[in-house]
Amino acid sequence: MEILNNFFMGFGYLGHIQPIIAIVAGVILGIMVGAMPGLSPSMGVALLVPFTYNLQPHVALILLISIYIASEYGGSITAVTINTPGTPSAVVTAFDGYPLTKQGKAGTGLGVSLVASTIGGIIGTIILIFFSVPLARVAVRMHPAEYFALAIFGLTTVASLGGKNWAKAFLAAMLGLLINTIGIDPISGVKRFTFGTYRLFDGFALIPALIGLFALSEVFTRIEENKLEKGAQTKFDKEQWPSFMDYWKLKFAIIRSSIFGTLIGIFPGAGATIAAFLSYDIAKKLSKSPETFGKGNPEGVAAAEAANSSSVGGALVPLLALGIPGSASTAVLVGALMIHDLVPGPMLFVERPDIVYSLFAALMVANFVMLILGLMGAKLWIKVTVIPKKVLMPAILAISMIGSFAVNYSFFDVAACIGFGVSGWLLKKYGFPMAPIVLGMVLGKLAETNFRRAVIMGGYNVFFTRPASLILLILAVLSIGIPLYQTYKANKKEKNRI
Amino acid sequence: MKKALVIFLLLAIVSISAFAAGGAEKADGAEKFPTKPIKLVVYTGPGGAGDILSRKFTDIASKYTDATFVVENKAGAGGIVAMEYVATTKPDGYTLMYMTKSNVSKLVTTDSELDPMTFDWIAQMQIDPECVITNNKTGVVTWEQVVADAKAKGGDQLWLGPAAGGLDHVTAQMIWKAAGIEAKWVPFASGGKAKAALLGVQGITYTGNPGEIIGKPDFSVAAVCTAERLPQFPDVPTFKELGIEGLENEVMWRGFAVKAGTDDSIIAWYDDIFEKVTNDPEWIATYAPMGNMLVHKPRDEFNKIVQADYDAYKAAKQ
Amino acid sequence: MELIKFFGKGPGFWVLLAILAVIFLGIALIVLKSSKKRYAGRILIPVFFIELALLFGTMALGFPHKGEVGPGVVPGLWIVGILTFSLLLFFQAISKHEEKDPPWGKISNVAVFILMTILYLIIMQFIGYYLATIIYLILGMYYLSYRNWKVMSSLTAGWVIFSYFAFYRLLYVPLPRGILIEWIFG
Repeated sequence: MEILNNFFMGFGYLGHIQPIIAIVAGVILGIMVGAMPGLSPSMGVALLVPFTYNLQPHVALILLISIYIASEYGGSITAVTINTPGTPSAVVTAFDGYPLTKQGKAGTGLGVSLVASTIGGIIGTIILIFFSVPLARVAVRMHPAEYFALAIFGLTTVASLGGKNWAKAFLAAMLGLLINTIGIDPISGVKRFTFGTYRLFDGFALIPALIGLFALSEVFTRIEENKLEKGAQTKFDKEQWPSFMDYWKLKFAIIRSSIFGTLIGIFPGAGATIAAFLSYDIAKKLSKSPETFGKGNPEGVAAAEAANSSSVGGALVPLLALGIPGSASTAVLVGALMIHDLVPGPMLFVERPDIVYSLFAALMVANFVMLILGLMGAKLWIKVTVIPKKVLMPAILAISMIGSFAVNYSFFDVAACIGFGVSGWLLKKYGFPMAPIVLGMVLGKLAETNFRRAVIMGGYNVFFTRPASLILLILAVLSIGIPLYQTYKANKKEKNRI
Repeated sequence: MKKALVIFLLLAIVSISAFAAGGAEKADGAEKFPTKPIKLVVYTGPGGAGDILSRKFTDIASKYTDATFVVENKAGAGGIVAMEYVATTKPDGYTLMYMTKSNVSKLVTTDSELDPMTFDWIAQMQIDPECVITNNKTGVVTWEQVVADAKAKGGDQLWLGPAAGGLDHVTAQMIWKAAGIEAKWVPFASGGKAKAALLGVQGITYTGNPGEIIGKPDFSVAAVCTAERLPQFPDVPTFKELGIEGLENEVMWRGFAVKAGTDDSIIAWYDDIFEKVTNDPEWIATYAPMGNMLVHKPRDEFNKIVQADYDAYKAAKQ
Repeated sequence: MELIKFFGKGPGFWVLLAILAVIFLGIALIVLKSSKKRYAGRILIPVFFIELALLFGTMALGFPHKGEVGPGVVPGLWIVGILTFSLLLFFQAISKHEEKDPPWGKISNVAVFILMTILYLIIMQFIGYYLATIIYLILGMYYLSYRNWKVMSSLTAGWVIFSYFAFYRLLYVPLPRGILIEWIFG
């Protein structure tokens, strides 16, 4: 009950004007940051840290947390409307969101992604408030072997992503994984594939690659097709906004993905992207009509968005309970706390409960503010789909350039972005999916470093002697085997019919 | 059509005047040093420890000078990107760089062609002793227990910390050698991740700085690499007290550098700022409790320290 | 082993790169002259990845062996994966299990846009971000035969103003000011 008392005290704090302004401003900024290709949630939070320097600590944290939560949603807007994921985790949202837009149902995609994000955010916050301490204790016990198994499990979603083109999907994933090994090896310090330039010591940054593979390749494809007369959405009617019943049908997908997303978000280093990929895969496997996924099934949008938004609550668990950041964005929050002479960790609950509980209350409120602003804004961003492509294409190029520059203020990144764009355009033409490349680039380091770390700590057997790791690896094998078997069976059936 | 042209021209004027404003500022005479904003280059991303220190520094420095500091983050390759960048700037004093000892070690470990003396190391501001941190829940808490556990495990004791070849790893190897024990180094992506693993009892010790246990009641400091006990941690023994010699001065330092060749008068201006910040109560209140020693060692002394560290890393590599 | 080390680093690497390029061009010529002409892309993409894997594999074999699992092991694993799937795709393509190459659209348009983008980045260094962006956006839309000047100018103006306030003022992104502009104005 003490939790509830504290929680209401936190709400009481929000009764002032400053925190409310911080939430509204944070949500608006967050949606913008998320929607802008190139500004990921962690960058949005990081770039705003200097700005919060002179604010009161409560207000500063509320602002940053609102940006964080809203930017995870914001990424879906451009993913749905122009097939350009604004954040890495929104790659998954685009799988079904953009096909919806092409069918003239951009409203469905936008509505579902907003509602799923909101519910995901709220469920994530509830889990954070009530279970952060026990969950954090479990999270730190995660052995590198388990991280490795989780990464492999995440990679297996490639099997079902690829469908008929599974060989191409796997090749794409392997490319992403290999690209991810470029740079100084984090375990031994050896330089790998750096071609003698210090600019490659950290490898290729993810965000410029993401922009190139999705935004630029899409632009090049459209320009090549030369069908630029109209906007992305040809039909435009009021019926496209989903009704309450439409949302109600998605309740299980949203709740399941939210809980799952929170749990994945808890483990330091796993994060929103893996959560979105895995939730999508699970939704597809549990669905009665898996073949509609990737062709504009709202359930796919719901699963992805609920998972990436709920992972925010999860990522805050180790931060608040242990003082250890669970994601790139929370790592920045640690910095923001320390600027205000607050040390994150269990002692924060004891010493400054006001900070912690006003943060919880703000998270709740921010989700509702996001829902309201999102509903108001949705009418605005749906207009993006009717912008003539002749205007939109150069604009996307310009946005992509500044976006990839803003990551590290480096023109090398911008050049890399163009390189990824050209390669992505060519590969897409020949039926290679882009998402596995991104998945490989996200999971590569996680898989490799944890594999090697686990072997240092306990030899090769450790992957099979630890139960959690063994279960995850078995799940991974099943997750790869079942879709391949289904494809095989389907092909056989087809042949028999002929 | 005409309207559009007018708008376009207006826009061009606006954007040019944006530059012009910057230019005009610059033209205003050059008699006193900071006539334009000073760029403080930080080699970590926004929100990293170095970024916070730099921003705290600029915040406090603004109490003592009207000069504006603009923090610019140039993350990448453990500081090499930022150092390469500063190396290309003019030695006019308008580019200041935040530096730590790990930048020096990175120069050596990446075989960089940059000479550390491309920079003038103008102020060492903080010295942070290295220490061995343990988890109270493992039953291996004091240094004696660590040694006993290491001997019992015969080389399989796990030491957690950041990437191999970094300062913490090198220090750990020195400790093993001096104490006559054997152990395994488990490198993590960051100090934070390694600390999480220690909390989860995945290893026995974490090598870092005493300040890192603040706010984390599960952690203890087993021993610290200084000549005398730290006033902030009076219960923590030094290695010397424990009978292990040669570990009295294993530290992480932080400071600032400019491009070599910067005018003496400019450096004198900086010296004054550094001195004032070092004695500022807010600076002390923020960093002293963390176990950091707050110093102000000016350029001659600091340059010698950097050269010595660089030579030591070079020698260790061969 | 010595041979692999030679090709993995320094001048040997360039020799290897040249050999691979010649092989690639050779295969391309053969395919284009043969009956498989309409599968050229589907054949050449796996060939490219096989060569890429060989190149990276040669480099990875030269990595020093350090610790329990050396730095070359995991990249080696991914390289083997690339080889496997590329070979699979290669045989699918030459056995005509694959569809024919997709038709090419207006490649010249794409080439112009890529070139324009590269020029945009170069020109930006001289005349600064804002002016370069104005020129780039207007030219880009004009090239795609868009002629509504009201939309063109308002969108360009909106974007430049937005990027000034959002990126330069709020987020402190140091957009290039332009060497020429800096030289003229001070």
